[in-house]
Amino acid sequence: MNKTNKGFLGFIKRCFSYKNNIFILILSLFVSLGTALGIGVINYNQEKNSYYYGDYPDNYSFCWNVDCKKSDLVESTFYGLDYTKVYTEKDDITITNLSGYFPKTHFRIYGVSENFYHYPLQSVDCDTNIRFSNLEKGTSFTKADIIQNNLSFMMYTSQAHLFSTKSSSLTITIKGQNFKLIGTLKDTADIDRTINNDDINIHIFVPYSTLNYLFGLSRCYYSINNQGHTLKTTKDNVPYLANGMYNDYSYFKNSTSKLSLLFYEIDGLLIFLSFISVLIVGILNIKNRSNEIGVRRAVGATKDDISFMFLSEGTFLIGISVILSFVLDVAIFGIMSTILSQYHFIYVFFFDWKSTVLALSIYYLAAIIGVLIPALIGSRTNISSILVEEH
Amino acid sequence: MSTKIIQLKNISKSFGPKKVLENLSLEVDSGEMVAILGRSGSGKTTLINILALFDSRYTGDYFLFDQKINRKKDYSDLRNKRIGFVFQSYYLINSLNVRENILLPYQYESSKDEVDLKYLNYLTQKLNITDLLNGPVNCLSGGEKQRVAIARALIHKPDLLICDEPTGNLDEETAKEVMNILISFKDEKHSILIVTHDRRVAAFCNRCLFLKDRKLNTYEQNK
Repeated sequence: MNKTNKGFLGFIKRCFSYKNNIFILILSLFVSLGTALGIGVINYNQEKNSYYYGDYPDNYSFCWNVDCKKSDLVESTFYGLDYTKVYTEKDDITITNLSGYFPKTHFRIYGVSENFYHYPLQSVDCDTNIRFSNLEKGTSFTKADIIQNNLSFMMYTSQAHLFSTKSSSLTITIKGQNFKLIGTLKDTADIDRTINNDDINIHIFVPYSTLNYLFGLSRCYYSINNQGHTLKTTKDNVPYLANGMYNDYSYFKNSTSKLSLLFYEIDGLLIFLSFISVLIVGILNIKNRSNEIGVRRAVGATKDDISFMFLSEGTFLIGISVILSFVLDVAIFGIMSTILSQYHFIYVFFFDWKSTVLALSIYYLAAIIGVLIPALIGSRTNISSILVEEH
Repeated sequence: MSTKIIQLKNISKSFGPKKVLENLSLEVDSGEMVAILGRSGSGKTTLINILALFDSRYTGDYFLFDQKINRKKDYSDLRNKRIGFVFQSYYLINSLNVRENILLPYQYESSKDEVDLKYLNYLTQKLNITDLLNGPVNCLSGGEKQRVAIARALIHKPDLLICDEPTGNLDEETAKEVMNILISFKDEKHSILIVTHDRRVAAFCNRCLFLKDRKLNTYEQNK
C-alpha cells in the first residue's frame, strides 16, 4: 500500500479535518445562499417593474382578438377586419376568412383589442384614434408606440393554438413588420375595468401584480384550472386606476427600485462581509496550523506548497458551498413558488440562473481572495520560531 | 575516510544589539553523533535553527554536505532528501494517521519516488510501531509519538539527523529507549546532531560540545 495522503481522497480528508475549514464551509454556504436568494428578490422586484415596461408579462393587456394559424401571421396579407367580427372572439374564423369579407379594404393591423369596438375601422390609420392604454405612461399607447416598440399582444387561445408554449419574447412577422410578443391575455380574463375617459369607454387590462400591489389580495384572486390560468377581480369595485394612477405607479416604481437597490446593497455587503470573515478565519486557520506548516516545511515543503495547500483547501470548500447554495437556491425557489401559488402568487418568485450564477461567481472570486491572503501569509511563516523551542 | 557533513566557519548571529553567536565554528563528520549542550539562553536554539536551514540571517560560512549554503536560496529539497528532524514536541499532524505522518516527506519529494515499503516495514518494526500504523496519532503516548517522529525523520534515509531535545518530554525509561533507537541508526552511518541540556542524553554521544559565551567548547563528560 502506498498511502502518503497525497491523492484526492487525502486532500478531501484534510479539508474536512479542521474545524476552521468546516467553519469556512458553513459560513460560505450561508453567505452564498443569501447572495443567491438576494439576487432572486432583486429579480422579483425587477419583474414587478417589468410588468409596467411590458417585457414579458403573462397576464397583460391587449390581445389579438382572432384565432389564426402561424402561417397566416407570417405569410398572409392582412386585410381589414370587421370590428364587430373582431370582437366576437369566440367565433372560429381565420384571417383568410376575414380577408374574404373585405377584400378591397387594406389595413395594416398592429394590434386589435376591444378598442376597435369603439372606434370605426376607417380611422385605424389615424394615430390619435387608436388609443391603447399605456400603464407606464398613464396614458394610451398610440399606433406609433406599438410600431416603434414592435410590441404586440396575443390572445391566450391563439397563442396556445399557434405556439403551444409560452409565447413571451417570441417574434412574429406581419406583413414584414416584426412584432415581439410581450404577453398574452387569457380568453376568460375579465380583469379589465371600464373607466371613463373623455366620455369614451376604454378597457384597460391591469397586470395581476399591479392590482395586488395597489389594492391588496382581498380585492382580487388568482386561480388555476385545467384550461390554464384565470385572472379575476373580486366583486368589489376596484377604484379606477386612471385616478391618480400615475402617482401610484411612481410610488410603486420608486419603492420597488429602492427595494432592489437595498437587496443589491445587502448582497454587496454580504459578499464583503464574507470576504472579511473568510480572511479572518483563514488567518486563524494559519495560526492554529502553524505547527503543521512548520513540520511540512521541515520535511521539504516549499513556500509555494504551503500556499497551494491552503488555497486549494479554501477553493474546494468554497466551491462546494457555492454549488450547494445553487442547488438549495433552486430548491427554495421551487418550494416557495409551489407554496405561494396556493396563496394567489404565481410567477412572483422565480429562479433566474444567469443572475444567480453571476452573483455566486462574484462571491466565489471575493472569497478566493479572502483565502489567498492567509495562504500567502502562511507560506511566509517563520518556521524557526515554531519548531525549535527555547530551552 | 570520513567526510565532513557540517562545517560552520565563523558564524555570528545577533538579535539587535545582543550577540548570541560569535565566530562560532563546528565540524561534524559522517557517522558521528554529536551532542550540543548549553544553558538556557546560551544560543542552542539559534544554532539549531541555522544548522537546520530554518534561519538564514547570520554572518559567516556554512557548508552542508560540502555545499556552501546560499542564504537567499530555499533548501526545501535538501531538507526533504538529506536531513531528518526530531523535535521535542514531536509535531505530528493530527489530521493524518501514523502511516501518513511517517510518509509525509514523500508528499514533497520532487523525484516522485515510490514509497520504499521494505524500509518502512523495517523502520516500524525496529521502532515497534507496526501495530499503530493505521491509527490516529492523538491516541499515542509520548514515547510512541516520538518513535513515529523518528520514523518520519528517517523514512528518506537522511545523511543527517538533527534532534532538538528528543527526550525532553519523555520519562527516564522512555528517554533511554529513544536514545538507544537513535544510537542504532548512528551505527548505520547516519550523522546525528543532538541539542540538549540533559547530560544523560549527551552521554550517549561520541562527542559533546558545550555552547558558552557565544562559542562551542569541547565538553568533558566527567565534568
